[in-house]
Amino acid sequence: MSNSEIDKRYTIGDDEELLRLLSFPSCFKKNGKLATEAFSLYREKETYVSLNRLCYSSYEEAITLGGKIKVWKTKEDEFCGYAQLNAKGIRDVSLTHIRLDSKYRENFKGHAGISYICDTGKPYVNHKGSVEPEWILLLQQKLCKISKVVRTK
Amino acid sequence: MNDFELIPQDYIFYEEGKYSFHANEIKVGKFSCKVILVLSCTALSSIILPEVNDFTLDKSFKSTEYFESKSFISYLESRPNRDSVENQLSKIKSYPEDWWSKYDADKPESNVFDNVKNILDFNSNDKLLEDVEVLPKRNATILLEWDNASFMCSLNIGEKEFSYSILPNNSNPLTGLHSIDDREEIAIFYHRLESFINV
Repeated sequence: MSNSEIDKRYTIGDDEELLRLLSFPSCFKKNGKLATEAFSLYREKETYVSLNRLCYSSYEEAITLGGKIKVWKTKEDEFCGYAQLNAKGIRDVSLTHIRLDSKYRENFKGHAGISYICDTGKPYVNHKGSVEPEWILLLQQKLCKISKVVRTK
Repeated sequence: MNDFELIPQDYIFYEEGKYSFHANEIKVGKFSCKVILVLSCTALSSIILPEVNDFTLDKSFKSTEYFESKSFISYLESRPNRDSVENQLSKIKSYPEDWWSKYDADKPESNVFDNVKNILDFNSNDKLLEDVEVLPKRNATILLEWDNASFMCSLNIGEKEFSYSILPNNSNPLTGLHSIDDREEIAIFYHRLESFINV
């Protein structure tokens, strides 16, 4: 395996496109625009927002794969749309408070994650009933602004 | 005209069901169809009209007539945008348990809904709530979001705190994270929001 292939697995290039698959109604507002909930951490102690790298799969494959994980695996398929983002665009939102990492694994090669990095240098950890800090709301708003959005239902 | 409104400070309960109207500020600013209706019913001495949609009084005024119509007062007291927010909130509160489990989401505790209402109670300007969307977040908090041509505002209300970010198109963002009981910071949030709504 060449170095470039290894890098691709674990390093996301600035020119890569990624999809954030959306399954919760609050991710969209009535006017079809994204709400900040689209980029929220929501599970207890969750530390990153999942994305799919399009270099590993087509739109259709990413959506199909999305339908096989987590919530959609055992429950009704509630996929309602997606946001497409460019890796450099994500990184440009904040040089210090956003980290875009590959979450590569053999059965989910295109898995990636956005972490919100606190001033301590550690990823923010979500807790039930706690509001998201204001600096994360701001980052999420900026992510909404740079997203290309497709609503499927 | 429908863009403006009469705020509660502009009318007072008089006696035996009668009401009079007054303005405390000489610079009243933008008026509503309600205010125009009131002014047309009063013996207000002079109004200068410096520009369209912006009335300025040359002095404080108090109406010389009193109104007994309850329906008239009811109309003046209507808060369509607040009502819309309350309706959205009630709808979220009524979602059955399986709605939340279906989305792998946690339903907010009842005090979160109370906290939203408490924060809404601080606002007397119904215009600020125009087109706001109330959205349940999966982490058991509530999100109020404004999104228009000039700014985006996200207000997240939880069990003990509220946070917000106002992202204007052409100026620096304004943010805050405070205790749900911090009345001064709630007022500051509305003041900041108002500065964009009135642009």
